[in-house]
Amino acid sequence: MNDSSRPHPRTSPWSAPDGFRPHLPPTTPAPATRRDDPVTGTGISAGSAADERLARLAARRAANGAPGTTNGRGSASSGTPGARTNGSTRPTAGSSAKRSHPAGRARASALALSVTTTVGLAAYLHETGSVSASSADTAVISGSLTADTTAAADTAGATASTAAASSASATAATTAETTAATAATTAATTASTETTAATKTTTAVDASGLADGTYVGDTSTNKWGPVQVQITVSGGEITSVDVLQYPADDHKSVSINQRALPTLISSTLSVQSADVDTVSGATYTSESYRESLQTAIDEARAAATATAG
Amino acid sequence: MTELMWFLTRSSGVVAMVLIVAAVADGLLFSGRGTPRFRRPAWWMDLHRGLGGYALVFTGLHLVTAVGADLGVGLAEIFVPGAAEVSTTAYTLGALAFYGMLLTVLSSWPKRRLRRKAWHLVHVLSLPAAVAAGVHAYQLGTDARSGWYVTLTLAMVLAFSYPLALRLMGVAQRRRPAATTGPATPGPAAGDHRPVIAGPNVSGNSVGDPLLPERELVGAGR
Repeated sequence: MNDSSRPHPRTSPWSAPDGFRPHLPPTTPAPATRRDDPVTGTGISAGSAADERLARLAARRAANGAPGTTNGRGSASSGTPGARTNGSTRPTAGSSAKRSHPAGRARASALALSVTTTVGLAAYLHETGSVSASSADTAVISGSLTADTTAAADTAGATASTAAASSASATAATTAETTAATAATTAATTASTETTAATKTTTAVDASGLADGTYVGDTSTNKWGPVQVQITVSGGEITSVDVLQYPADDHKSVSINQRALPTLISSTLSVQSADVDTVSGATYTSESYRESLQTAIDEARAAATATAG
Repeated sequence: MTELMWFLTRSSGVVAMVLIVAAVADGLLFSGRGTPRFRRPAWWMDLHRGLGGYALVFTGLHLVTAVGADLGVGLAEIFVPGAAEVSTTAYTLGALAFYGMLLTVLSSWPKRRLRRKAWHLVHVLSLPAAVAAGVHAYQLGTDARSGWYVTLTLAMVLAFSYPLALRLMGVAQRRRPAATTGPATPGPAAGDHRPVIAGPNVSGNSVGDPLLPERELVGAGR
């Protein structure tokens, strides 16, 4: 029979006889703050198992003489991995030492990489798509059918191509090539010749109801600026579309219209009408384009009616 | 000058987006049960703080350069949700994402002032803020349809979804009744001097199984 009130003689805790409960050293109760996990926001389990773990940790630290038992600093930098519950580096009360950064090098690398990427990406975007936002330098965005102007009904290879406007200056020509780079292109010189040759003023009327010639639609103005379209009809078909005006007062409008207008032109040459789909992100431009294009088509039809009459 | 601002606002927006996703992924990964014992939470925590701060800085740069880039919008459209007449949703999401990030960072830096639950609630705002920023970039970004940005977006979606899925699985596993969980795996050996990190933020399983709840592992084998 064991008498717990009388100390039992023994040489070490591990040589106790069976049934004897070894005397455990006093443990430091875990401080309340350690129960808060600032990372996950969840509390440490209040079960006895968690308390035992905390007690063992505190005892181990006390035995090792580690500096600071609750919010001591530097344990991560001393090489002890995960010594804290959450990696917090809060300084002890009253300490004026700076907060340590275990991932200092990684942070510096991330910052340097971010700055470098920002500058490099800005330079890359400048090289690939630099366009002046000045309305005075806005070039005409054009597109025409690749078919021979003498052929009447070859619409299979309708694409948008680069074309230098007849009245454009050298600067505008360069800008036109740049602006049309995002669209499908054909040989620039061939397209120029075709476009120029397509601008006829004959009054031949085809069964499609459009008189041959060049027609300029009304200017349709939206929140971002005016849009005006010019079409060229040959053999009763729309063979060329030129956007004489489009919103270009700010960089955003220029980039949107550079992307949207070639798509609208291509659709027009394909469907041969003003019933083209809106380009995503260019709602206003698409609407104004359709309005101006419709007025140009109406003018071509009126000319055909007048000729037939 | 406006042209420089124009390119800088685009590039800083992309970099800020990447930093946001990296910070969120870091935070989800290192504080989850799937984090192996040998990883240093202090290191990940510090990196997480750094990435979050840099994300906020680059977002600020994105906003400042947007104001000076002659985009056709003013301060009200950029900072007031719902004030933009065109692309209202995109601008609103961007503003909300910025305010969400700001709250998330300020709740932890320079000092945590909120109580644990309130802090956690504010910190979780970073998740919808990151999603809102991604949608804002897709809707309004000039380069959103570029091939390289589409590829980058896919990578960011993966980097965001995977840690989030791990955390959600861990939460679901924790809420399951104890009877349905598997047998407890023995804890570290007696001679193992690696510190035991209390709390649910580290897997207590030396085998590294992230799905086993911690309650069954604590005290096992000791």
